[in-house]
Amino acid sequence: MKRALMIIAAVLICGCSGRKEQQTAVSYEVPSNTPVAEELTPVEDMLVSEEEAQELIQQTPEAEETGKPRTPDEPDLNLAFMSSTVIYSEIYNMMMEPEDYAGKTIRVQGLFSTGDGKDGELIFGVIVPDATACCVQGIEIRREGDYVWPDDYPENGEPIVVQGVLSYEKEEYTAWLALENAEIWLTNE
Amino acid sequence: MWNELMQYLQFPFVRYALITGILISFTASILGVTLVLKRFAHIGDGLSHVAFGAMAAASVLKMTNQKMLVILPVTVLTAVLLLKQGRSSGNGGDAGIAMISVASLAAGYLMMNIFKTSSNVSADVCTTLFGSTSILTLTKAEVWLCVILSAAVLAIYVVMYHRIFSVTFDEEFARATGVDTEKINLLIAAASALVIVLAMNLVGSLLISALVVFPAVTAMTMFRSFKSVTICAAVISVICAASGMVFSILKGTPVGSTIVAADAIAWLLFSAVHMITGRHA
Repeated sequence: MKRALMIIAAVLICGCSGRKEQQTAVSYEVPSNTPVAEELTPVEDMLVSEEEAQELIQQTPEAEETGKPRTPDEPDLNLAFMSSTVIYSEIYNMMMEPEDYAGKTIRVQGLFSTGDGKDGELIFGVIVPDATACCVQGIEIRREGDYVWPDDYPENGEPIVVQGVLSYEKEEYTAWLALENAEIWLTNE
Repeated sequence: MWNELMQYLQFPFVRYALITGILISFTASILGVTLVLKRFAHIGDGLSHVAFGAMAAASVLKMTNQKMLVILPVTVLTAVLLLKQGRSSGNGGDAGIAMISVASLAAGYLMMNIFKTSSNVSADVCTTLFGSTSILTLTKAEVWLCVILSAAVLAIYVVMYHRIFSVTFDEEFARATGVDTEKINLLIAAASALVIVLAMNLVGSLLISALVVFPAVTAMTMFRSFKSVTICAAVISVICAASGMVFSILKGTPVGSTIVAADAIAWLLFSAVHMITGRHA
């Protein structure tokens, strides 16, 4: 309860400062079942708008009791905070056999990136380099809601964790992967 | 670290990589002893570059999913020709190997650039040449192929062990005693080609020689008999491959070069022990 009041107070102070604040840091506790959770910093920043921060705090029954913001649902496949070799390889396997992963909730760690879609529209993605950094794999990020570039998105190249439901479009030898209804978190790693 | 490793082992592709990596390193090491003693250690490089060229040709012919249908016959045929030429030229045929090796590598890269089949050619080439993650991206069919081919190479070696031994050390004496040396050399060439093609998935085209040479040479620093050297080379190769793969998975390093680094460290250790003790087992 105290934590919720402090966060609300911080949000209100920022709002009253006269600056136009599009983003507010909200505490996010990494789930304990993340593979190397014990090596992570306990709290990371989640990129949300001011309104969303207030909404999130009140969104779940547990948040009203604990004062903590919503934590993400446990994914079917958690690739966050693993070695780049493993993340890269698993994403490559997803591209080669996307039917085995479609419809599953995937959590991935990588670098935020923008690019051009097939029709020249701006698209967003998470890219994962391999160990030599000469090869990268990427997954498109598709978010629900009115998110505006660049205010509601990380900067290009910023390390992120993203979670969403995997969809794909088959191409000649591989597949175009996308995370639908995606959520993005900033990370220190 | 142990818990972390157990987490990674839950992924099927990690388990497949460890199984195939151990099998490939085992078969490469036992054939490596024969190739090193017959002074054909550099054939690994030559054949791997030919295999790279064949793989590029398969990509251009839109046979990526059936690339083994191109790579295996081309590599086996080249191995047979190179070994035959090496024996007849008297100097190990190293010039022939060098020519075929660089020509195949250049032709392969040229084909992949002219007839682009993916948007990131450099990345595809880099992965194939250095094996940074290729062992972790095998399909089930490729895993089964590796298992079957490794079993075939092992079976050839076990069944023909005494004949391979005699051809390795004294081919003329072996021929005089009635051993069909042509057939045995053909089998060694074919088995070498199979191992080279498999090993491309593990350490990449450029580092295959390490998988063939290092375990044999390391074992020879400590042991003298053919059987002891072969067994020691196999043990060293498996340990280095397994530890190299585990380290690269945990720390995010390229798989191929980590395994080769482990082989190099093993050689240094064995050489140091040999230098200090000055004795063979």
